[in-house]
Amino acid sequence: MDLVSTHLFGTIADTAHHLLLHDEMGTSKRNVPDGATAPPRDQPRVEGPCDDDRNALTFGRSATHDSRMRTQWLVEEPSSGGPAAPFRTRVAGAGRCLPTTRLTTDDLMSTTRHHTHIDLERLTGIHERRVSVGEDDSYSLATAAAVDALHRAQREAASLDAVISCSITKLRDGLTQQMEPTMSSAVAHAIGADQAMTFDLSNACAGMLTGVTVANNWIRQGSIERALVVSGEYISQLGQNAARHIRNIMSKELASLTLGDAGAALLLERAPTGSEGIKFAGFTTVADYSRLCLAYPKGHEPAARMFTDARGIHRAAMANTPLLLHEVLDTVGISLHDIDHVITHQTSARAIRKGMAKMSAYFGESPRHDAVITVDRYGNTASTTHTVALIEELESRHIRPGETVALIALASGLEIGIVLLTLDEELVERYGHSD
Amino acid sequence: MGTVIEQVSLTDGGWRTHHSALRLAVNAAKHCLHEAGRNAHDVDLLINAGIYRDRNLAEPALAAMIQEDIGANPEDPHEQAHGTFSFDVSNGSCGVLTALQIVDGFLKSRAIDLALVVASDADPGHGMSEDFPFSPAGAALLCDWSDDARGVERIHWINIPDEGESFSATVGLLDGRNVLRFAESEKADELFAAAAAQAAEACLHASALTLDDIDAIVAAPAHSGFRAALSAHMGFSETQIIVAEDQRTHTASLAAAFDRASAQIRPGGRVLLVAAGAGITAGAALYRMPDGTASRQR
Repeated sequence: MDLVSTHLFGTIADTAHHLLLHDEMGTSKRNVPDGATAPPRDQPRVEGPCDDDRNALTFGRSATHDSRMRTQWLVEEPSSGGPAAPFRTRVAGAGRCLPTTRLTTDDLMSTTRHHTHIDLERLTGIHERRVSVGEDDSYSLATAAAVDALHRAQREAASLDAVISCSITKLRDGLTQQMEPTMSSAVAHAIGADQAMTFDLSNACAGMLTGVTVANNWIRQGSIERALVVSGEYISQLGQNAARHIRNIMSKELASLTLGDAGAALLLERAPTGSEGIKFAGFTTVADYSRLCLAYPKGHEPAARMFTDARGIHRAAMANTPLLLHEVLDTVGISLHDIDHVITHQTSARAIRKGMAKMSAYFGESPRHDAVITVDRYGNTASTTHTVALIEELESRHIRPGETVALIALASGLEIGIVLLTLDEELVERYGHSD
Repeated sequence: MGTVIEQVSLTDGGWRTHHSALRLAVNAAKHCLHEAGRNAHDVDLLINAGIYRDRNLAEPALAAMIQEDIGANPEDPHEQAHGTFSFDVSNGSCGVLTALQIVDGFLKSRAIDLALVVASDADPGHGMSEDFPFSPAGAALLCDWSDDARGVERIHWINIPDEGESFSATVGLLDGRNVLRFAESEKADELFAAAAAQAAEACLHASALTLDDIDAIVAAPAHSGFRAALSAHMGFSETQIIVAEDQRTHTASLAAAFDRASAQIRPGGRVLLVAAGAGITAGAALYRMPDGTASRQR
């Protein structure tokens, strides 16, 4: 829910508001006691009295690690020099749950309190989104998607070793945000995965792909065999809240109008090395931009409100993604044209097309197919967008076994993550396609 | 062979931090790095396991803000350098244990060399909470890898689903305002201890060890009732169960307990990390102490 389009600029008034938020959440820099600040990067490490202790506590490999210079920006498993992972992670199932109610952009914009003169559909390409009208919440959407994924994979919930819930919203029993216990424990219990370890993971719209990265790491090393990465986003309320405040195209809450509800789940499991599955997972957080999108409960309105500097995030994402994708392609040893399908975070059809055009210009080539766009039908469904789009492509029989799919996360933080995967025939056939 | 906690730092609420989980976490993280003689840029992975935070913020991950504020590779990516990856996990009093499990996987695969786990909670205040039950507290743990026998071993988890009956926290509209509220059963400590004991027993059983092989249990939450009940369930002396000094510490409680243990347990000693929280979820893992984990409280 972070990138809307290059056309959504912030107002001076909204910028002032944003700076206030930044000040309230960013004053800790001025709050650090003397001597507690880490040395700047370009200075040698200070040899202090603690160093003897530290050195005494660094054993074996850690000492070796300190002397080894990492030259890849993304946090990723090393392509060489590290222990060979004994397994690969295969995608065994993908499930989703979309509310049946369709809210068109025209209908949503007709509810704005002020006459905004905004043609949101033209700006974003979003014709409609699915919304819960009270029948679903984050919990029920996640649970239904989890059941769908298990059904698609033909696996029992009892076989799950981990259930990771990755949603931004944790609304249950209507518009009540559940802080504890975890959403993952509730979903695991609902589907009968009471033996699975559970925890919630939060990383804005990159949540599910972050969960995939964690589960992939565990599965590849043999720590666990099967994991469910799930998310239920009942987030359209933010759009309804924004409709009461937006006055014009410069509003910081404009991105909230793109949001739609959805549940999504990915079932990942252990497979032999050499199988189709996750080929690469890498992430970074460009934290200089961490305050460009903030969402929190505010005032007397239910759920939350979201304030986004869409232009700033878009600019940062556009500037940094090509370099990181280049790093990924070099690591994996493929070219951009070897990628068959690109699924980016779904915020705006125009932003996606523009971003892909820039990518193609940067690399001098393009992926084999145009970037997948589902935002026109479902809006921005936050952390679920990649899975919702992946299933759309599978059900449309656009993805063939063995084709390379690039899932690209761009989210508040600024989180940038890239997951490359291939799907095997068994999975693709479950959605109706076979060669 | 496993993840070693190189350094622990704790912070508590001063007048400028008692309503800011962000500041508590940032101060703990900076102090931790400083005491370890590490540069923030060395941190490859930053996981925040805290829950109750400024404005009840839902997005972005608080970890991203912490990363920016401590200056851990916050700038635009560039060639021939490495970045930092940050995100939040949430698992109540078990959150730090969950984070350690994630860190362990990334360290083991050499995706990272150094991780920082932080956990902090603070009453958001300003009418955004009601009867906030926890002390403002933060913790940071700097983690790297050991190829020898020291560090965190496999973590064992137990679920005893209770639909949040023992403990729950929600944010919802109350009299036209969004308010963070809590509900806790009088039996919570006993129920959490029963789950924790199950996890601990599973952990010991899997390692073919008994309580006689353990120097201490490092436990969370820090409630005296939980500690006494855990002692009774496990038949282990209460004096050997180490918890945080402040009973009202929440997600930082396991780190605070570990901090105390590191000052008490002999180098090379073996402790059992045990945590239980809402859900009910409980986890346990053996930890072989290094020659002397450094810790200091500000």
